[in-house]
Amino acid sequence: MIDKTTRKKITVTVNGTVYEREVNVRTLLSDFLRRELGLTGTHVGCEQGVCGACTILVDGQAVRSCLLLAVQADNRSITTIEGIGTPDHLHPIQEAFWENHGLQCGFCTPGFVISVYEFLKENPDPSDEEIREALSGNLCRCTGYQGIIKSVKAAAEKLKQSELAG
Amino acid sequence: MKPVKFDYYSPKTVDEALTLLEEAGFDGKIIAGGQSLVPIMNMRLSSPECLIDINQLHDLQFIEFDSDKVKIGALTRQAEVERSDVVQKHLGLLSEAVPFIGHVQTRNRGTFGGSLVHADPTAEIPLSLMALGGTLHIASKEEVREVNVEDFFITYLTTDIMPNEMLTEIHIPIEQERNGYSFYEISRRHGDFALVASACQLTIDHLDRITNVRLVLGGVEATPLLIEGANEWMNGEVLSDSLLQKVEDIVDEMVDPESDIHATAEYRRHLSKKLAVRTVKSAYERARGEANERS
Amino acid sequence: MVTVKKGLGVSLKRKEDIRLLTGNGQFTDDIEKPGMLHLAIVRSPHAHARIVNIDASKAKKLPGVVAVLTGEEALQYSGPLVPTINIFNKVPEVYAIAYKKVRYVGEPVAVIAAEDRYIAEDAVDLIEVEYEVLPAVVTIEDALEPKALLYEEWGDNKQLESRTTIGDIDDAFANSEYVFEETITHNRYTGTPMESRVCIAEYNPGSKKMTVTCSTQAPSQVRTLIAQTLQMPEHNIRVIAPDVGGGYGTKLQANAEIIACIMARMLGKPVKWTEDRVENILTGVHSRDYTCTVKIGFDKDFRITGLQAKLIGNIGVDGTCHAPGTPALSVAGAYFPGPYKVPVYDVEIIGVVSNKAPYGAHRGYGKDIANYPIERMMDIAARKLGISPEELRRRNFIKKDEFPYQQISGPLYDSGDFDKLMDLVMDKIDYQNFKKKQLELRKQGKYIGLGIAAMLEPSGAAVFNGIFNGYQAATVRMTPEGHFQVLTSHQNIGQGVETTIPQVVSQVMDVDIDDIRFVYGDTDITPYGLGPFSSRGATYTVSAVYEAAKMLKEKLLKIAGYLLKEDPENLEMANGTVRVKGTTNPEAAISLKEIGNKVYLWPGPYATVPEGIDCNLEATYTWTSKVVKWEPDEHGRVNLYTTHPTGVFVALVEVDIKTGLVKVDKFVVSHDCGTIINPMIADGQIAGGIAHGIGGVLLEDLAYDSNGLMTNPDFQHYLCPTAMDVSDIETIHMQSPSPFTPLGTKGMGEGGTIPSPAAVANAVEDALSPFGVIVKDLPITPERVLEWIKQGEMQNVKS
Repeated sequence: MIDKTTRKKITVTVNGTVYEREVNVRTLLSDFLRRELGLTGTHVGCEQGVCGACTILVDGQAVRSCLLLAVQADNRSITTIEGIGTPDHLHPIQEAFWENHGLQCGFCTPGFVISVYEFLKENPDPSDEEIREALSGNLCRCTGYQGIIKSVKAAAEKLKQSELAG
Repeated sequence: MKPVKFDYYSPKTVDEALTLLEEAGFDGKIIAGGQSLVPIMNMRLSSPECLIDINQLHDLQFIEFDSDKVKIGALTRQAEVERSDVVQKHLGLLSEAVPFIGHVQTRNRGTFGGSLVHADPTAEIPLSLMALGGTLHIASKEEVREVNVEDFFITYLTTDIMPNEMLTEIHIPIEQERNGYSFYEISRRHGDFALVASACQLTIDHLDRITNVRLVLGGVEATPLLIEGANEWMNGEVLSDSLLQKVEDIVDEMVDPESDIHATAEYRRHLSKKLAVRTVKSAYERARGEANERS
Repeated sequence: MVTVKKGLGVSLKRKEDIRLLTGNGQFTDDIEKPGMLHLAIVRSPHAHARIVNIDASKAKKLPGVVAVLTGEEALQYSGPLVPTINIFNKVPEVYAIAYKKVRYVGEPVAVIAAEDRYIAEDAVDLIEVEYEVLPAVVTIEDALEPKALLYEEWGDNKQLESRTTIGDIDDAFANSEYVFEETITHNRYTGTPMESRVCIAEYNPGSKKMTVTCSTQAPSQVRTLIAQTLQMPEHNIRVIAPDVGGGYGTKLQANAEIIACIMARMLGKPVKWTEDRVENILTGVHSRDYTCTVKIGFDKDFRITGLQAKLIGNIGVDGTCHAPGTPALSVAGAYFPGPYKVPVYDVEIIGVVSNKAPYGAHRGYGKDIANYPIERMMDIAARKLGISPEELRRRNFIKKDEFPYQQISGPLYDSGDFDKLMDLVMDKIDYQNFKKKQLELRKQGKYIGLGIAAMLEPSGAAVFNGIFNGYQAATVRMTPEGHFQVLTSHQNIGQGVETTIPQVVSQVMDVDIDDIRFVYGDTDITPYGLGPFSSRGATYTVSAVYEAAKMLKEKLLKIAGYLLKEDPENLEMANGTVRVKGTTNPEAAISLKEIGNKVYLWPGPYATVPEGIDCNLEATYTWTSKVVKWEPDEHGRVNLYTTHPTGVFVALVEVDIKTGLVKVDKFVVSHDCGTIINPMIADGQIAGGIAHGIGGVLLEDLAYDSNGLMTNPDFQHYLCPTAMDVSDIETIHMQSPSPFTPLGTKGMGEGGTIPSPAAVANAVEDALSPFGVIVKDLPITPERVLEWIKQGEMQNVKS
């Protein structure tokens, strides 16, 4: 019947590219992305789902990649920070972070950008309080959040404008 | 912080999952959202030999309105409950409680059933279900049995579910006319486990007298604490300062919290009284139609 | 139109951001080497114990495990950890991997190298260590008793003990109108950078060269420490620090890094150690954790007559070899007088060792210890004297025209204007209106409060007898195409130096910052020097870079003069060219690209370069401070810090008296760090600093039980502030340039943290003044608030 297994073959789409890999079933998705696929933009800050540095999108939803096993990403579509924008074509959220000093050391930044990406899709016109709540699942130790909150407001504005223009 | 080795199965049907559970016995552990399990696996505080991943059991992922009740599949994500119009309309208490769970990134993954089975006595869903009442459908190879929520939680992180069983769905009676609800919790930071949480669900008659009340406190006992007998002294009463004082006194008598690194027993006792009063008051006001927004 | 990005005082967007925003940053853990092994560390579960036996046989048999190393075996490759700084403190004999004895929970006992981290952690579970448990020294009282001795050879548990008296303190108090005394304590906490420490070590047995890539603030210092500890020639060691995910002082040591080096040397293979979050909190360097008894006298006009402080810090296992923490207590001793004029001063400092994790730096380095008790005391005294805390501070502030000010305790303050800072912040918050609102809200059962704390931030330490001295070299180099590289040891840890350092060079050279690259993070490439700690960037590094740029500019002007047949005195640099001053005539100008071309491709006096000029288009300058004084006077006083940013911080809070929860509503800050290079980045430093202050005073606490076990070593239980916990912050700047740095700049990375705990604590007391609340132990937990309300009410009833 069902065979016992400690290794498993998975097919996963990351930033539009399909990968087929055999993985140890205990490999965390964060480790898989970083070590197997070399997508080191996803950072690991606590491995217990608190800090949010490893946040990625799975089928469009923001989740902690340290709390998922790589095998659980089988047949799923993932977006990491590498899939949000490029140095030559920053996403409006990334632009807003750049213009509003939304980052200092930059280690937590990919997690924030991903969380904000999902948040502004759900709530394109957020209040300050809603922004703070939405960011509360991501820890930053450099900025005191001031620049990040400003960036989210600016990003919402930018996205609205591009919506109007588009 | 990496998990120990385990065998991993990803059954496609409930039946397959139940067969696996039967075979694995005490070595088997179900993983659903994994938002409580994986952290403790990464810290090696939990080391299951056999992990049965039920995320493929899409049949268990639903929210359905059915005349006098709402049925929620065990695998339904907490975020789906949060966003559900059906829940919003018929189970206001749940809509109010779920946003307190962790953060959006964990609610996107964490499941309704997982929270119940994990049975953390401060957790929002167990508390809310205890206040709403309802039945849990628990399946094994042999049968599907129904357990009332009052009989479900046994002690800290322990429920009535046997190793060969699995929670499949939860049926919750919908709110009555002139119903009011309120959920509130205190934690050190937003999204942390509550120090104390309180849920209240009540109905009133045309003279604003309480006709039915369920008041539940979390973080004060090994399981969510339903203030039993509340109907005996609250039914027929309108809200008054003396009634609220009585709520405080009874709660003081009934709770038996413990100290941990986040709070002492005395502080939890204090909070449980304050939160009980707050949620009773706010539920009552809601029932009278005085305040519809979140408290 | 193309905007040219250059100059000081401009909020230019950061050059480093693009890569960090797009996942193109490279942090140490992102780097993989072929054949690399992964380390996991077996750590002591006991606070204090003798190691009786270590049985690694099961672990060694586990497939995938390559090596296991114990402290005893490591002695073949390494000596004890060497002191980082030693200011008259005792130096313990301690090792990277514990030898014979463990002295804190989490101390490394053995190390495993395996094919991957998963297997390495499996092997950790298989190592059996037999301990003989000893009594644990946890509190200051335990240490002084002594309950046990950490280092038997010392005879006591004191790593540091000193006393300085200037004037007759007993006489001063006897002649004071008012004398107040309070004992003020502070919790232990730490920086928890989002990137924990990571170290990759590679050793080439053929060339005997060691390459260490690690997440550090101080590559040069790490190189020296590795060389001394491993007893290897320093020229054979290369330390590389790529992107570093925050430091705040907690990445200045080489202790666990040594373990990776030993393993690499033993195995001849690259190894990686990635600290997990539990290890980071458990063993990452800790700070604060002190008790301070302050006695202060005032005359009838409320002017300070004398100040006495007795500080006892709980260092934990060590604060000199594991990390440079112990001298922070001495820094506190030099700065208790802070922004105030103090005629008589007496200070006693004791640093006790205990079975807690090592003591290190964390945003403040004793300047916070100097600030908190005094700024709390000013409020307590003001209340007792019946004047406003604002007025009491004003009566005692050092006045603007008294700068440079020789403080009684030794430091020489460079510049500032505390009265003006107080004006700025008080105007902004509208104090009278706030007080009115406070009274109105109290009637509705709402309690808001306002807390003031004055700030003095000694920045840019030069500490003798250690690696953290005042040596800062910078090289500025022009490339053949007329662009610039700036090379220093000053690591980028998030403070924006890839932008601000080019801004300094652009000020001299008048070129766009995009044409200037800041090169750092590799000891084989940059000159030896210090890293970003002690807020030294804008004091030391900026000054070194500025002077080096000026030297290179002088050389470029000479060469251009020769080529243009003009007197260099008549030339200026403008928009990437050298030209005759004020001219727009292209004939009278030469581009930097052309100069580069001439010098590099047509060099020598036989071509384009005048005789007598070294044609290397590079200049190196080592900046040392003229005001640092290491020779102690008759009272043992020295001056270690060159610059002193100043400020007045106001916290506005609301306290829920039903639950005890404290919410910080707002911080309003007036701040003066001399010449500002990039205002946006300066604001970011202040805001980040305040977040660490709010964390320490309200949430963060490294909690140990009576057996010395830490009860909260993870991010679920160690509470870092989130976006919900850090309030809006409004900053008003003024600029009093420092006379002691060439551009008037002052390092300013810690000023946000230093006064914030006192501002919040004072605000909580103000909010709860109807109950007579006195803030005692930190952090201010809701539970403690309720307890203080109860105590205050009882006190009110009694009196």
